[in-house]
Amino acid sequence: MSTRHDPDLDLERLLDDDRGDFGAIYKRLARNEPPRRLDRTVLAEAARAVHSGRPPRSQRWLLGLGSAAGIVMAAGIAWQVGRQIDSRDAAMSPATQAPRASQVITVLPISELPAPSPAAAAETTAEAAPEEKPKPVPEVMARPRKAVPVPAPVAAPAPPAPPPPAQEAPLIERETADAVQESATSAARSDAQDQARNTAGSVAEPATADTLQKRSSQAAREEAMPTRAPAPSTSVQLRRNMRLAPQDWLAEISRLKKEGHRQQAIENLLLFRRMHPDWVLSDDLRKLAE
Amino acid sequence: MTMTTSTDCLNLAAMGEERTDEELMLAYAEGDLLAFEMLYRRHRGTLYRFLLRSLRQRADADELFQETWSRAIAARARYRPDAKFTTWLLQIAHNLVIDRFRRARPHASAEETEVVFSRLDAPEDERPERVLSEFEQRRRLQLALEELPEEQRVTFLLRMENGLGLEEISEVTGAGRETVKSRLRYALARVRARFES
Repeated sequence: MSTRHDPDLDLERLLDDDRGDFGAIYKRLARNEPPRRLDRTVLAEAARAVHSGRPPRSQRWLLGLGSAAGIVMAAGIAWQVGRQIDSRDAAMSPATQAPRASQVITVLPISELPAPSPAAAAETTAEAAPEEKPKPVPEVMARPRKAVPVPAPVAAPAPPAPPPPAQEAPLIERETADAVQESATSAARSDAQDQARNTAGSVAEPATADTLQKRSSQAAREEAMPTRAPAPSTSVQLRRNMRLAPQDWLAEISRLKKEGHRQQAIENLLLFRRMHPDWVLSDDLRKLAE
Repeated sequence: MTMTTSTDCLNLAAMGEERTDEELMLAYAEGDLLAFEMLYRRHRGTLYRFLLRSLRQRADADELFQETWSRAIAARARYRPDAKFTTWLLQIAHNLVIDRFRRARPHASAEETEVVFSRLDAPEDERPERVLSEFEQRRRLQLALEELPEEQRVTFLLRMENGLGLEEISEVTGAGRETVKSRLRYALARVRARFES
């Protein structure tokens, strides 16, 4: 006896999980695999795509972060140096405290408000001087905050937001945004600090021989400080290293550690762990990271 | 690049099977090479067999296999997880296969397929797996696949090899759902005819 197969029924069975009459036979067909040569070619191409050329969109923030870190470091050092000089000046000539404070206060409105009349300036000085006098250090902090309406140039290289569905991106992005914002604020603070210092020097402070000498010695000290240079060079190195293959990067970290550049090794390692969170580190590197 | 080191194996194990294809592809787009390796391992076999059985020539399959992955790598930044990774990858492969077919026309006409249907009277209890030896079954299925018209073969393979449903096949091939059903019906009829000849 014979029966005609119903094509619709056949199709229905083909769409079942076992794929109908022929599903079992199909599974027993030769399980051809691509040759190893193709595996190597494809994987090499995938690696090349990652390591050469532009980094993918969402990694570009690392470049910005590297630069921002350099600027933050330089700004921090400049601020620290300025603070030390101010406190040394304060210690050396307590008699000049009141005039110094008043000079700073009179400078403040310059960037925000129209220049006050000499009488108004005198009033402001009279009111503010007693408050400012006992706190010479916070005064340095206060100045730039008021005088920073200018957008910080560091914020410009911040990367565009990566696509929302990326799993880990939001966290990284937030951290980056914070870091960039922080660096922007610091840079702006530094700029404003310099600006305020210059303005204070040119407008309010009388150009006495004493102050001129102080300023020139400060400039000389700042020039002599080697601290501004290493920050960018470190970030450049970090940027260079993060383009290495993971194994090569780890080798570089080990080399840094071996040669005594422990801090650089740690910085590299922290960045490495961010970029390759699943990578299993050797014991010594794990200890270094901790 | 080396395929895997022992450390990589640990990492791959740590990454776990629970990461979806889409997550792996996004991770690779962010520079995670191990994610790509995991993805590649998952799909290299099925993609290769789809190409080999569609094209029937190993050299062609090799070439298009490499080309498919090259295109996927190049397009990694544009990948969006709203498209299922397998569908996306097979779409790339399917387009390459169709281009290759177009360069090597002609193929069997639809009329021939109709003739096959008319010959489909088969003994009720003579299911292929019960009548023929296992070797013979595999040989016949292999021949039947090779003889299928290209579009039917590709559609049939997307179902048998890659396990795609009607909607997914429709998405990969760009054909309407009814067209996909029709191709599958014809393909089944031809395969059955080969078993019963």
